[in-house]
Amino acid sequence: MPKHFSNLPIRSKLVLMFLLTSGLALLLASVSFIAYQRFTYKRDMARDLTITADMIAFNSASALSFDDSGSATETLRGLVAQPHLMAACVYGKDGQVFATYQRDRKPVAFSPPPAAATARFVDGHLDIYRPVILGGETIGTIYLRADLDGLSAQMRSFSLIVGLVMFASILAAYALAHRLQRVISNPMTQLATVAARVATEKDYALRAQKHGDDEIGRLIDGFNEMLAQIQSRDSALGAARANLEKRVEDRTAELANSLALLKRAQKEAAQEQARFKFIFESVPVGISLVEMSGERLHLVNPAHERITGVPAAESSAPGVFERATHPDDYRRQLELAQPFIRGEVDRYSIEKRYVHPDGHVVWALLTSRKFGDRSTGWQQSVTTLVDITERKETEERLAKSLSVLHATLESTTDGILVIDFAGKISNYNQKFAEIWRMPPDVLATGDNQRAIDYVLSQLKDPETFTRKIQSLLTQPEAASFDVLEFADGRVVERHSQPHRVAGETVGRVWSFRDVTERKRAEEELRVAHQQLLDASRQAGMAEVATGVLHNVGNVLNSVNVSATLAADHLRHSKAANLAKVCELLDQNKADVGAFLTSDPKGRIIPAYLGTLAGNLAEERTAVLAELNLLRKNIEHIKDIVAMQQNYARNSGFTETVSLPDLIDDALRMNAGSLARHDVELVRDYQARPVVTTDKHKILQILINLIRNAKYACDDSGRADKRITVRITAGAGTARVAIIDNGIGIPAENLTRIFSHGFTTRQTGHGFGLHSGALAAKEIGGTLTAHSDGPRSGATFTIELPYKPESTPHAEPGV
Amino acid sequence: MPAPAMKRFSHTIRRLAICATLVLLAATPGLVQAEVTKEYQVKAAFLYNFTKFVEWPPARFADAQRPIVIGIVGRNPFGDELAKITGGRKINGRDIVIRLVASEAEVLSADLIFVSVGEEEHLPDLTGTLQQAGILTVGESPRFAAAGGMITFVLERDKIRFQINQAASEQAGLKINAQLLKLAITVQRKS
Repeated sequence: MPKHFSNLPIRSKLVLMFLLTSGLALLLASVSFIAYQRFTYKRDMARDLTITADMIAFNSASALSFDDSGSATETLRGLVAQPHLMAACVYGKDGQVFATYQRDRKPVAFSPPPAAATARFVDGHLDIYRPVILGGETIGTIYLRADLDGLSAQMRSFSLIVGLVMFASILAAYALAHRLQRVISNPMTQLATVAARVATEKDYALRAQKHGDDEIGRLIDGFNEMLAQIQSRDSALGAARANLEKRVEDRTAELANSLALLKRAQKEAAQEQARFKFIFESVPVGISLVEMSGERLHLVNPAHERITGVPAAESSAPGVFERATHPDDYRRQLELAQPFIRGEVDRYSIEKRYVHPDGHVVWALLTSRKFGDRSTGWQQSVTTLVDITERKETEERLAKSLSVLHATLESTTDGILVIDFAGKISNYNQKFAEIWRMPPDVLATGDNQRAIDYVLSQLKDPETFTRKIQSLLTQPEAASFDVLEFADGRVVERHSQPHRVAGETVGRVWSFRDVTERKRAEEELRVAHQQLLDASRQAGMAEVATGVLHNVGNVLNSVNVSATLAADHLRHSKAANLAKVCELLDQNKADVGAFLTSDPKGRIIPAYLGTLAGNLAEERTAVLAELNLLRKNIEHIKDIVAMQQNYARNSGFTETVSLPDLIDDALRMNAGSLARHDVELVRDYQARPVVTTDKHKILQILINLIRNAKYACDDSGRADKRITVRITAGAGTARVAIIDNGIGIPAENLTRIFSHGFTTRQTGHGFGLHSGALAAKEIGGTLTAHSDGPRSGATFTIELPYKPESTPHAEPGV
Repeated sequence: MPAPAMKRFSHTIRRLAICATLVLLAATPGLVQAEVTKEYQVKAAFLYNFTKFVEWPPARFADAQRPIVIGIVGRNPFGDELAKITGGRKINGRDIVIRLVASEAEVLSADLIFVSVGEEEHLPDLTGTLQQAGILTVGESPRFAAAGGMITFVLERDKIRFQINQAASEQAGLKINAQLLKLAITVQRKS
């Protein structure tokens, strides 16, 4: 509204102001008038009603005094004459309703009266309470209620009148204002028009016209004067501006030039800065810059953080580097750093350790230097840290491996000598000195030639060894081995090996081993072995003999039985009865015919003889059968003995034999034992090869293996003891496998069972398998063992050289 | 709880009994002392009120401080009721004094006399000396009214009303307020 108002033309403003002023004045007057009227009306009404109440009080006093409510009611009824009275009531002294009056039907609830006289406008009506006083004593209360209809009607008529008057006044005011405003607005409007033209046309020669000598007149004068001044200044300004523009152009060009220079310099500085920053941060060397004055770290690069384990942010904190430095190095560094801090030296270096928060240690080469401007006294120290952890570790490893090498060299029983190409002894061990009985001073010189001279003096054949050395010098890559015999009878093995570093030969390593003792032991062993072999062979033959005797024993038993049976048959022979018949016939030889026909005894003889003949025939048959059996058994014994003679022959003689037959013989020799121990025997002959070999050796091996298998089965304690003998033949090889389901062999024993003296049996000699393996080797074959472990049985296999195209196997016969 | 319930019950019973007794007493008027007392209570109040509506001849009250004297002739049916009502009250600045009067001198010293039933014979001359003295006479029997008493109590429909002999009062120089006249059942005026 105010903004809108300020944009209105002055004419309208003036008219509005007139109207507002006059309207407001009228409104105020009217409101005051109506308010006053309302106030006086109410005051008069209350006063009138109070008078009425007092009158009623006076008239009801006697009725109240003498308790005559009828009379009081009669008095109240007179109020009908006053139409605005709505209700009236007379209360007794004690506040009880004594008499009432109501204008309308609607009942009025008369509440107990207040203690004092009151007049109140409440809810659109007037309530009046007045006391009834008689003889100075209050004997009751009068209550009157009047409506305000009269007031409302009066207010309505007053409002109507005020509205009409205001409307007429404003119309009149408007007409007057419209006319009067021109006195002010016209000159203003003209001035505004001129000003607008000056603004739009920029014509400062225009002037406003003056109407009078009031404020507006003076304003127009001032305006015209201003225009005149502007006119003169405008022309001066035009000239000055032309000059100024030229100067601004020149200055701008100058500024642009210097700005370009500045920018280039800034750019170069920034590049320089970036370059420094990149190098500073990427260099693997830790760098820190410290103000000498305050010893305050103010620049730290990432490598520094990495090496010290101290973040850049914390590196200025007091005590950080005391904590980060290994306690063993701290005091050392402090001593070194003191002169530097005091300015006595310009630099110092130390190899020190930093302990990182996680506990790992970094070795660093720390170097602190000073730089700065001596003239201004500005000094900084630059500390560089080079991570030398790896070098330190390598050194440590090297020292360790050197010590290991040294210990290794000293712990070997070989004498070792290392010579470089310059002929210098670069290493040797104590054992070397011992073997050659070389005095320490010879070795200490490191002169190889002196050592060689010393060596040669001890050898049986120094010339050969000299030649050997000479030839090796010309062949740096060759390895060589020989055995040296000392003049004092010792024997030493010599090895020589080129010494290479990264694939390049830089020298030669000689090793010497005193084998005097070993040689002697080897000789003793060879003799012992021969003796053992002999013993073993004898033992094998004894075994065969035992088997033969056992078998012969078995057969002899059968022979004995057969002989006894034959004897029994003959002892109980009915042949004796024949003698009795002969005797009887002899007694009656006088008349044999009569005796045979008439004598009762004689008569049965022929029949008896017939029976006897039958019995004797039976006897003969039985005895013959026994005798036949006897003969067979004796044949058997003969065979056994023949076989014994056969195998007992000296070995070393080869002949062509059928392998199955050989096996059968071996089995037969063990047959009794197998049967006795209830071992089932399975013959699985997949081939029947004929081999040319020393059959005694094979028989010896087989008997041994079968016997072992039997023991293995026996020891297992199982019911289904079984030994399988399998023959297979391949290209160039015939195999015999003796397979048992006995106790098996633990894996750790598989390699030991062939060793001399190894046995698992209490009564074993420990050379059965050992001699077996040797025998197999002697005839160009092998003996191998296999077992899946304890209780899984075992398989022993003999492999023999075999040529299938050689003499075909003939059916076993003579 | 039975005890308070019982107590309340017995209390109610007692109240009912009292009410019944009162009803019985009310039904036999004139015989019971309580009814008589109630009637005379009202009459005592009326006697007091009459003093407000009556204006005595100026000669009777030469002194502004002199109390108004109410005299009861012979038997006093009010007990001390009248004294109770008037005690400490003033009519137009005057105290009220109650006296039992017997002799003529005593009667003449009173400003208002009350003559109860049966006492009329002690005052045969209601129109003579008393009228001259300007004394307001109040009675309660037809006989009293016939003898020329000024205000006589009448029992009308259980309510105590009164009749006024204005001729007699004017004769005595007493002015009886129109308000009082308005309440009277009958007003006997000069013929």
